[in-house]
Amino acid sequence: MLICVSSHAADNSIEIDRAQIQSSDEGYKLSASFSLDLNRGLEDSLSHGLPLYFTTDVEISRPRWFWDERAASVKQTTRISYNVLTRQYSATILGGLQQNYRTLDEALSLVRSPPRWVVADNSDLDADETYMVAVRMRLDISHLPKPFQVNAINNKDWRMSSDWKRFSFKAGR
Amino acid sequence: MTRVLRYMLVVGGAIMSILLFLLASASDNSTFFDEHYSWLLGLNLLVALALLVLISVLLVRLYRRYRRKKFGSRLMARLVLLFAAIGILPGVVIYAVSVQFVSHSIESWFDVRVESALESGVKLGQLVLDSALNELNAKAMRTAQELANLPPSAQTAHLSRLRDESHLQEAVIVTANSQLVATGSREISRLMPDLPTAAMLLQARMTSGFSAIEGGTEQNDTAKHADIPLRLRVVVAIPVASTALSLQGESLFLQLTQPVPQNMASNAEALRVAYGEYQTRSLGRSGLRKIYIVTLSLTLLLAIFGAITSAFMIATNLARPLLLLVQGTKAVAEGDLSPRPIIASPDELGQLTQSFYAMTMQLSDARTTAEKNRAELENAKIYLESVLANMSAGVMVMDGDFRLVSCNESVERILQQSFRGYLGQSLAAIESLSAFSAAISKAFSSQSAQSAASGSKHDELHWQQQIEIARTIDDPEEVDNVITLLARGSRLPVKNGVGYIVVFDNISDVISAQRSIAWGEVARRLAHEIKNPLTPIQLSAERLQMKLEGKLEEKEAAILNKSTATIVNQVESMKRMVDDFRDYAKTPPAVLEALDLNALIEEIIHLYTGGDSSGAIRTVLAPDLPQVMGDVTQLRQIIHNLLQNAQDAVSDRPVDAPSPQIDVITETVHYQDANNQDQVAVRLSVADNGSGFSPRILARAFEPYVTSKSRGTGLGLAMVKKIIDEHDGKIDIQNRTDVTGAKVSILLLKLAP
Repeated sequence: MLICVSSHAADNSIEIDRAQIQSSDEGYKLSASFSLDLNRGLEDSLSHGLPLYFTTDVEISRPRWFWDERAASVKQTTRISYNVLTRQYSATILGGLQQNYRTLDEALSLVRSPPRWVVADNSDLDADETYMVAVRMRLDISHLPKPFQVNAINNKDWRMSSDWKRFSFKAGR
Repeated sequence: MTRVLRYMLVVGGAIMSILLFLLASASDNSTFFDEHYSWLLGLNLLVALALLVLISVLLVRLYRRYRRKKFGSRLMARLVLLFAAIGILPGVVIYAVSVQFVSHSIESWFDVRVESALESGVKLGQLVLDSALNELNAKAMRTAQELANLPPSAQTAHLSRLRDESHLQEAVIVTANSQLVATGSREISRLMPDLPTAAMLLQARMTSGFSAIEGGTEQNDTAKHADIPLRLRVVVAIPVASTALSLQGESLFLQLTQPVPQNMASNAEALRVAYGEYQTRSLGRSGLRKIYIVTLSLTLLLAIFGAITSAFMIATNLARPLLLLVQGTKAVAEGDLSPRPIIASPDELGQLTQSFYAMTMQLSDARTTAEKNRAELENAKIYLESVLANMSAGVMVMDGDFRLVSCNESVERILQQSFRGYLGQSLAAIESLSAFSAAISKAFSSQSAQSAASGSKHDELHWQQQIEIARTIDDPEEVDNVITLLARGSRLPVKNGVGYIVVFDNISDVISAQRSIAWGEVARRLAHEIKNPLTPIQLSAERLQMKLEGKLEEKEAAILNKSTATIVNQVESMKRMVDDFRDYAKTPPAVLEALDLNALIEEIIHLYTGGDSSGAIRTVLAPDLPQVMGDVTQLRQIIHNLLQNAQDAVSDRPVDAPSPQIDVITETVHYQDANNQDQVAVRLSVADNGSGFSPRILARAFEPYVTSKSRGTGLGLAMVKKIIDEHDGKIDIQNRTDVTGAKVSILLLKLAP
């Protein structure tokens, strides 16, 4: 395993640099930033036209005595793909906008610094209650065809995931 | 295989089949089960593992049984191995071939030439698009030059004309801030054109211009807006002219967008899609191969499990009747003929078990019958032996050489000797029986002589003879002490040769009784005959005395008187003797009436003791003695007689002997008669501690003239026996066992009703 110190994360792992819940008029939004780098195998697959999906999982729960009451569980997937004709990378947040970029890094910026998005409505969480939030980003292979899912079982290149980052926040204005 | 195990195996097999089917269906390149494929795989592996555990349980159990040499395990193991091998080998062969086939097929799909062709096609498309872009770029540059020299009012018209001529989608002029200045579109109601972004403008300013190909649909996109078709966009800076064109002095940019022609776009798009799919499959082919191999392996495992399970089932099915038979054979060899279970299958194995069952049944029946016969024979033999043993006559069986083969108990009782140790010895060799054996041999020889002499086929079956032998061996000098045997002998046809059988009875008592009767007759006759002359003799003697009394001298008269007295006395005495005889011969018949024996005895004893209870005579009288039917006078006579005998026995004793003791005892006796009814009798015993009976007297005490006393007629006990016989009673004399002395017991059976 390569241990390289760089501004980006080491190969095959995703780091959550920052994650916090901010309340807004539309609801509670997650503001986060990630560090990740694609390894050679993934870059190769991408440049041949295979799209990659990155999913951010957010779970909000209220801690009880020995089980946590799940208040919200949402996820958002970002697709990075390369068009061999236009020779442009596109990054799309599923269900939202698509943007094209000339370079991979530019496309990955949508993944690394995604815009804030709503994880829970204002009515979902009780005000003044302290909630536990867990955030994780991973390379989602369930969108890929089955052979890649099988490949991922014993091929390390295809397993990219961050650890769960947990923090608490107090709901309410 | 236990029921639980079987159910689990069946259920597990079914589940695995279903899961495998799903896995196989998902293996092809459809989107079936795309998302949860790894879950499906995991589930399959889990079920396979569970089945593996079950199968290994079965196998381990079989192995353990084999090691323990449990009955039937060897056959089962062999059958299971055979059937499992039959099931597994083809599966393995097919699996190997399939795996090879799949791997090679998958590899053959991905041809290098196809890939390079696709790449070339993509490059071609890129080149075409690039050239179109370059063309547009050149046009933009030219137009920018033209626009630089035009006043703003004419720019719009120029833009419109350019747009129409070149089939542009749009031609717009924007400021550096992306604000629209002029547009070449005629209709105002059109949607806002895509304005260049700041990055584009920056690039346009920095370099000679911004050009890009945009659009293209994305796969799996759930975009809400319409697909963006392929188009070309070029942004160039409009050079600032010397004439006062710009109003604010800032730079302006021209943007041209041109859609890619439809068929070019569609072809390029198709190429791109094909290339993407090919690359996807190529990149995923190792995964695909893995999928196929895993599916095939799981199928192979399922087939192996199925083969092993059915091997177990078939082996059990086949082995069961065989093992039953083996068990049955072992049991029969050990002698256990209980019914064995049968298998009701229609094939030969089932028939075999049924035949075996029938055979054991027959064996069992035969054995039972044989047992029964043997038991019956045994019973008959025991019955015969008991009859023989309880016969009063003695039976002696001898072989052809007069060697003793067997004899029954009566022989020992009669001859008063045990012959157990003499079995097999010649009869003549036994000392005590020398006379007996001599007599027997003589009888047998004379019989054969007789039958030979008579010459008839009908032989004399047996001979009969009276033999006298000495009573006991310890007093051989006693001439008088003989017992008389009535012996009958005959030949016994045995298997190889001939044996002899002799049956004899002790008829001493019979002879004794006959002698008594004879004596009675003689006595009667004699009494009668003798009595007649006695009276004339006495009368003559008295007459003589009377007539000659005064006519003789004194000396002669004395002689006459003495002689006459002698004659008269002796005649008197003879008369008395004759009277005794007559009394004995003609006892008056008994007049039976109910009487209390105890009272009678006490009355008589009183005469002897005179009320003195301490003394020689002692009575032990049973309190509830029932009354007997008897003649008082005769019974009195009996008691007197017995007491007299007892007193005589104890009278002359040595000096140091214990004091004389006579016991008179009455008691009630319970017995069962011939009809098994309970009856009661009365026993009267008179015992003394005198010298007891000598053996000679014991045998013939009841015969007249048998006495141990120096005086006496010896008729006492004979009379007693006669009276008792008339009373239907029994009398028995014996020597006492506790002390020396005699005991006479009278049993009276006739009781008062």
